[in-house]
Amino acid sequence: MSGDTFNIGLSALLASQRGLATTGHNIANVNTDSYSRQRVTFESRQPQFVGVGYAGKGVDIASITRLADDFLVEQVRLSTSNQTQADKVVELVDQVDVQIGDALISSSIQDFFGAIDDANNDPRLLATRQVVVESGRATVSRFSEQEEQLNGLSRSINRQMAGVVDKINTLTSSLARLNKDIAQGAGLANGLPPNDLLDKRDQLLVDLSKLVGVQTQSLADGMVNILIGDGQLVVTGSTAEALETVVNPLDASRTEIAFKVGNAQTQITSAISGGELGALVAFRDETLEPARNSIGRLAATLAMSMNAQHRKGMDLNGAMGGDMFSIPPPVVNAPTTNTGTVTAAFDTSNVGGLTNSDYRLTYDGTNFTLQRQTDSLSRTLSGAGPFSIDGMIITLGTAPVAGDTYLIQPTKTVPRALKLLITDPANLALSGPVRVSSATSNSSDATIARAAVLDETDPALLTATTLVFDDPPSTYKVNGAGASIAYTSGANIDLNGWRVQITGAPAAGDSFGVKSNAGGTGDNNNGLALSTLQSEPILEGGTASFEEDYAGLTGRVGAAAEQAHVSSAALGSLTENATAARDALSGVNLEEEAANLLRFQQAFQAAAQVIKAADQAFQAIIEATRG
Amino acid sequence: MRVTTSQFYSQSVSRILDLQARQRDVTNQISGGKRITQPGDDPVAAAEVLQIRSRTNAAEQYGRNGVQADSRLTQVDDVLGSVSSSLQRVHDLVLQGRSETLGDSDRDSIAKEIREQTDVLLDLGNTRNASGEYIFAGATVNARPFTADALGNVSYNGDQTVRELQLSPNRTIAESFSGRDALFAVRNGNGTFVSGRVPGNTGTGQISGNAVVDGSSYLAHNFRVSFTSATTYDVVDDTLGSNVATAQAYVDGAAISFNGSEITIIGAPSTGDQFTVKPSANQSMFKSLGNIVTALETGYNNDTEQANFGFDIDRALESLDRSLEKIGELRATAGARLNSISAQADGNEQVTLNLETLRAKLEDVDLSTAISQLTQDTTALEAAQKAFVKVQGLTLFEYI
Repeated sequence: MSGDTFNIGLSALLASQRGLATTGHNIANVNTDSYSRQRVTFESRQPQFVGVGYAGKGVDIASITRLADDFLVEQVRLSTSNQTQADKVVELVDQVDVQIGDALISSSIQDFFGAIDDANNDPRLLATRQVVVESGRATVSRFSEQEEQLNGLSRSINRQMAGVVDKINTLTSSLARLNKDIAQGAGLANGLPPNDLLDKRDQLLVDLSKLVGVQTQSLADGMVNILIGDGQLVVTGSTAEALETVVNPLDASRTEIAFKVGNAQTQITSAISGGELGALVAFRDETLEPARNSIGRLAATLAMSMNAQHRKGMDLNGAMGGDMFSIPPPVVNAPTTNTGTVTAAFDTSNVGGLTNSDYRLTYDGTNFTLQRQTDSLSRTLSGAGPFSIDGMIITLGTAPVAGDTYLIQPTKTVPRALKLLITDPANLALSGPVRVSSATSNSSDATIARAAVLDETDPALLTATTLVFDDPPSTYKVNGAGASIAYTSGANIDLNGWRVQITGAPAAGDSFGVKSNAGGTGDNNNGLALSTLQSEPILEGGTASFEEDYAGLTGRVGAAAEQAHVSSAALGSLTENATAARDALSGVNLEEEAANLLRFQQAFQAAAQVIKAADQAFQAIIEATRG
Repeated sequence: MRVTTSQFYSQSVSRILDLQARQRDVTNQISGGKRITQPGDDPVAAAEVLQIRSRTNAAEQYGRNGVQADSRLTQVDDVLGSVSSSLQRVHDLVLQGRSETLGDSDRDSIAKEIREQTDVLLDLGNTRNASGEYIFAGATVNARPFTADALGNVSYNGDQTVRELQLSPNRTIAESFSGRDALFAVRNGNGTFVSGRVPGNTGTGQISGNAVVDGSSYLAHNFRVSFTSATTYDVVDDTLGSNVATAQAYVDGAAISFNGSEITIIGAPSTGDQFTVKPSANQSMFKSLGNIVTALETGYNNDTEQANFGFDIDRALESLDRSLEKIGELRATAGARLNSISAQADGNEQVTLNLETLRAKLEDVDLSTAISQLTQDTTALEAAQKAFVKVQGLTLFEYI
């Protein structure tokens, strides 16, 4: 009888002890990430029939369970992954945003044109011309510095990708081991859950999802499969498959993520989303590379437009202008597996056609297909070419073989290799190459307008020419000989690569001359034409000036930064909510544990009293029987 | 909902961190004066501010160009003013020299003074600007545009280019005039035709007036009034080789009209005397002055020579008047250009001011809003900190 009470007291003592220990475990883990509070469930022992009824035999510990909900845990994982991506994107985009926002390129272009204007006011002075050369050089430097910074960021992305992939691989192998431990642990405990291992796995999954977005599949034995990208199984039960970083065969400056299935390695970069890796991939493709291409396009367009106008002018020595800048041609990347060759050049007749995109060129055995990367617009190139597309001229070389692939990057490398060709300020072509005159002997007031240059390569451009009016003066002859040409006041007279207009009513014998402007050092006619390029809408198919284009880039990068900040804030509160929901169920509250502590302490003290009572009863019997 | 202990800590801390970040942002805005510290703060405004900056810079550049154009045109105007007074002085001297009361020596001394004035004018034609450029040389600014040979014949070595300066994106303004147009190629005679005498006239006929009376019937032909006797004349169209009128009666001082032109002959022409009427040609101002000097130095010894002297002086005065008119026209043009430069400068200033106002609106921080924001955030931060400390002290463990 008293033995029963003793046993009941003992079972209560042990149960309370377990309760106290579990409460202590909860308190100990109050700051452990992903820890789920644990609870001891008690059940009364199987009763014993004692004739008059069933007598209770005390308490048993049924189980120790953790309070966790897989759905809530998954929500936390998902929102953490998205939030980490957003935060990382903010960090990356802000760097570009601040750089572009400094607008050093834009102000150097303004300085350059300002210097040209000042030189136009004093075209003869070497000092003012020297300022043009210096500010031209400064503009070139600003472009290359900006590109160097962005390129540095691009290289840093490659390094970070490799670093993140290493961390992912470490985590996935830990997860695979943990999977194995969990399956074994659950087996040893007859199906009871290994609570702390599950929490640890949840935490590793959160850590993993901070690096890359993951999905999980639960298996019957307690293990989970882990998938990334569009279904790549990086953890299958207790085995992990490593991700790899490889160099893009079409563009050695890009690191790509690869995954091996069997012996075949596939690139999965474009399928990656979420986490730091998702941020690196998205930032590179959506912000960094477009910004580099934009700056390259601005450099190429500025240089080509200035070149075209500069060639039409005459320098201080009486020589024609030539190119102001040297521009590298579009880059055609080809893997070594290609058979054919392709080259690309800028189409100087369609400067406004240049886009901010890279292009992928593939050969299917009959035709080439050119795909613009920004909007995936595909065009079939049939025939032998050359093909003029989007401000480029693509020329086919050695015969291709089906499967040949090229990556054409029209503008990306331009800022790096752009050079100012003018070193001697005297070589700036600020004057027009030809000057016009009306003979002093003319008896009419007819005037001849300043000559415009149509074709600076015409070999007769600088040849002295006179237009002499016949009698009656309704026609004129070139150099007073040859065929008579009908005269219309104000009509274009195109000859030897120049264009002039004569206005008024010339008299018979009146003569007008066009000749080389050598020695016309005070002329700024070509300088004025160079200066007006500043406000000319040249880019984007003739809709944006240089500075408007740069402002457009600033707007685009700024909008990306703004968007990144907004989603980072929104996802931050989503994560907070998801964490609150999970913690509401699983988190440790010290007040609650304090109460539990008191509860189990009291239960323990009560159980001790039961044992004491049983002992006293037993002593009483001893006393009674002794006497 | 259950609140857990770590959540209480992390949420309180993150709230405090948020408030601190906002405080930092607002403080940065206040100390920097800018609402936008990077384009991402307001991409649309940032892009617009960039464009405004570029337009403000351009307006400043146009302002500089305008100042340059203004100073150069002012110089051109001043020089032309000097040219004009010098020509006026010559004009007065010529009128004086024509007087019948003067003797040969008087005419010589007047001729001498006119030579002096010619040198002055030559010097004015070779004026240089602040940058050392010859202002009337066209584009060949390094070379002296007007040079005189040993005989005093002046030639123009410049070209006809006139440099323009950029005043606005779509507007340029010429900063000078070609010396050829201003001083070297001025229409002689009355601007439409010029009358002349054929060497060897023996009478005392002079032309006292010539004008175009009917522009619509005016013919730019070479005409000749040929006296067939002392009282009759023919008008011959030498261009066509035909007679316009024959055997007309000569009346001293009466107008002779043909094809819209009208000349008045006075004096007593002799048989065989001829007067020509030709379309005006360009004549250098220096050539007109040379003609005057030659006439004055040659002088006269008899009535015929005196009539010829008077005739030549009159023609030279006519051409001098054309030069004065031309200079007047150019000065008016320069004045108009100067006005439009100053109008453009005012416009530029207004544009710059408007752009600056717009930029400030877009980019600059509104201090009163920012400071009240800062006060609000500071209060909130203090409250959050107090609440944290207060709630943190409330724990059951205090009582067991």
